[in-house]
Amino acid sequence: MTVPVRIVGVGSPAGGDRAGLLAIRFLKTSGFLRHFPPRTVDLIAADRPGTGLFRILEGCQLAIVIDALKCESPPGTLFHLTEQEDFSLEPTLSSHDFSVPLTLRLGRILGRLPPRIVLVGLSIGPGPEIPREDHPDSSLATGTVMDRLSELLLQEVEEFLTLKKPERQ
Amino acid sequence: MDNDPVETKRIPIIARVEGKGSLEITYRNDPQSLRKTIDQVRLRIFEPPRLFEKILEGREPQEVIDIVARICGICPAAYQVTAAKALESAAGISLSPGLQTFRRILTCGEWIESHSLHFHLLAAPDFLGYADVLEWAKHDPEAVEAGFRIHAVGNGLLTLLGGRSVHPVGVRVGGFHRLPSREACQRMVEQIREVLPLATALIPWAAGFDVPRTTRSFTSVSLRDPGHYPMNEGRIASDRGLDIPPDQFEHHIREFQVPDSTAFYSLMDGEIALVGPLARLNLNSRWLPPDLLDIVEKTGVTFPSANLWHGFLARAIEIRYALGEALRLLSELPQDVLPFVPAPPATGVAIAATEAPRGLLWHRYDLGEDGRVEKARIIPPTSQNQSLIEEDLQQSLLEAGPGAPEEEILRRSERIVRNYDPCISCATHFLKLTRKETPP
Repeated sequence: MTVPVRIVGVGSPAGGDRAGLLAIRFLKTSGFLRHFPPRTVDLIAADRPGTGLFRILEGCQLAIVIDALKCESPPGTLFHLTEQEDFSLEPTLSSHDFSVPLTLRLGRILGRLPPRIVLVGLSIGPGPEIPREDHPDSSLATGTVMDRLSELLLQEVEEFLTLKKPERQ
Repeated sequence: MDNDPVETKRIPIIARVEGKGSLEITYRNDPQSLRKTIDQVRLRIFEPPRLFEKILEGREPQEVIDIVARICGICPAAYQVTAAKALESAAGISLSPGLQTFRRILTCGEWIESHSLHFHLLAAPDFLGYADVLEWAKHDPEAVEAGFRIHAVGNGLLTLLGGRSVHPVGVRVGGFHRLPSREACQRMVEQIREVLPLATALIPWAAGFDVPRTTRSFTSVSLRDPGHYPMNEGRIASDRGLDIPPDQFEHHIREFQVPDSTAFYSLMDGEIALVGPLARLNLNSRWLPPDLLDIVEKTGVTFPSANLWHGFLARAIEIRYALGEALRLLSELPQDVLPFVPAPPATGVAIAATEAPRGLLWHRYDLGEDGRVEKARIIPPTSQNQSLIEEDLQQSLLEAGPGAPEEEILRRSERIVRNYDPCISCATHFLKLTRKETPP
């Protein structure tokens, strides 16, 4: 089924990298989709899709990709990254380190991406590569962090759908 | 300055997931002639498997299968199959021909996935003169897209038998947790057929690059499984007369550490060895199917080859081989294969070797009376190739000359490293270069 908006959480099941997967779980269980007409938005949890992300994003008009972000900001800090400004920041390139921004850059070059892409970075702090179980990321799935994420996504999707309406007429 | 006792230059790297690498070149200055000669080249790598051996102690057999999958994100199935084979051997069980077929299909998938990733993402831009795959994609998106289509089929085969392509979970001691449906296998047959022409075209394309005609002296080492191109079965052989069962391997390989590096180096019977696609082809090209041999023959490149740059072509050949082999096996699947053979508790020593995408992978587990691992030893391809990589780097830098600009040294060095192994490529894609000059 093709829907105009696809929200994809990417990550792996372990450590802070699971933040994107936790976000999708929260959105699915919190009634987020009730804000939109049926078959407008879908939610997908993608376990380390690599370039398989191209196929996941096929057919939609707006894709919002949520990924864990390791940075100095406190865990739970949200970053709204747009393609035009932020996707060229990451310099590394190797088979073990083919990140979501790089995948998206490659996808754009190959013409495999929807017209609009937004990357939402969910900070897991600057900690170790695989945080301990008591790392604050374990609390990312509940409370204010996910509420703020929902608000951000709601705003992004509503803005997009509003802009789309004149084109349908 | 030429008469400085030591000159150090660093280009930092932190590879996020699997480790880091750096290159250190020591030059010796001759104050009379003011000429510099290369004294030593050291490739320093952090190698994760050493930590895993300790983690494995005290684990039950099935835990071993799941833990070793975490050693490498690119070739997890090879680690799983090798561990499973070792533990099955200790348990005294043999897999049915049908289960061996499914194991071989899984290995085909991983070779396709790993090789195509390395071929397109890391190595090909070097041969084409592009900075990276992004730049290549801007100029020739169809070629890059073809690479990802082939890669996706490799991932599809891994998912078919492993449940997922990254750190698969399908393998168990005695076989698989479950086997795929006929319909799922048929879908993979169709996908393979679609990309087979793309993979066939890679071979003349890879052979067409004007690579340096340099040769090196090394011992090619791989499994040898007469009648078959080796994947999961066979004895360990070399082109210098080695022919041993896997349980004799540790009597011939010597692993050692060098100062200031966590990586292991190794020598095979005292000689520098090569494992991986080129070594496999050097020992086993006769077992390629006739149609593939015809394609290879038309390139004009012959195997065995002592030109390490033919490793790029070797990967292309093995991508095509693995696709064709998976297609053949999936088209001739035996009926009524049970997913696994029950394995009784095992004690004693468990040893096995397989061909991971990057070369010979060897495992040993010492099992206690309770069947848990008391001691583990894993020798990955990385450590077996490291001595040759350093020698190749040293020779190449000699050819470049001592006065070569740092940019040229880096370019040559990274290209050489990438030519061997994606794990090392990962660690050294952005080399930290340390350049030292010492007095005579």
